[in-house]
Amino acid sequence: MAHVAGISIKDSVISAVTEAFDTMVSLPIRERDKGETGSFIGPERLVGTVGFAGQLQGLLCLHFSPPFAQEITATMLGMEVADVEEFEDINDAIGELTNIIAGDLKTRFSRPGFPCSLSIPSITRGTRVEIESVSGAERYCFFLSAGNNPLLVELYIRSTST
Amino acid sequence: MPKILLVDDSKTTRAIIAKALRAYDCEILEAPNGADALTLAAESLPDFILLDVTMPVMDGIETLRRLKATESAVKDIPVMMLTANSSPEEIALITELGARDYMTKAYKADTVVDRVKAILPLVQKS
Repeated sequence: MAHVAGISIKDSVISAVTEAFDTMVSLPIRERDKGETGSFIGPERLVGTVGFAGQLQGLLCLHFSPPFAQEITATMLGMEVADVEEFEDINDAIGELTNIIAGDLKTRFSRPGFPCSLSIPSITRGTRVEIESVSGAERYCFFLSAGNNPLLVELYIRSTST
Repeated sequence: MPKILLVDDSKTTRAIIAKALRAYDCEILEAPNGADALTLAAESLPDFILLDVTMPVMDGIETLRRLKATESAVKDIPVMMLTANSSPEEIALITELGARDYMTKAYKADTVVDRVKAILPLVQKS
């Protein structure tokens, strides 16, 4: 697909991630060389996910290392990193950041006529987390840096419009 | 002291905005969903309500609808919606239901404060 009604998926994702990270945690985003999704972040990771439903269906997944997720949470809550101990706080911060980016993408894609709804954010933690594509969905993978931290963004998307 | 009710299921968002608003001489009330917000609004009669759209239990649209449908002074409290989804349909609905303003996520907390100040005078703490 690469484009949604003429809008570049890559440009949309990079712009949405850049704006959200700049506004919420003051971190610059840059693209990195492609790597293996399994080794880019490390085996242990935290994944924020928001689903799209409607004429555009799919999933947005943001992969973080646990220390980076903790750092983001500290920045968003105005706390010291060492004081962020609760999983609940980290889940909430990463969920909100993922939700903001998904909302931006939804707005960008809705404009060319792909109305869709968003699920509430969910968080997955674990080692060797792999996201499988839903049937018929195309997978887009973006290897980014947020400051000095690796950030993997996956977008699974399919259109039901004819 | 102005009283502001902040309604968002995200503790992170509530913390960010509450911290910015506390720099002004105002009292912050917090609710994680629309149902709790309706109760708190009726009990406390805040001067302003910041209301997230997407929440569990009761979303912001239904909460706004119920706030504006009450027979009490609650219906006159100015409401600013916070949304991660600024579709023209949603903005039209929010406006039709009586929200005074809306903000699209992501936003800096200072921007939220500036928008609140445009409707509700706030005095910065010295």
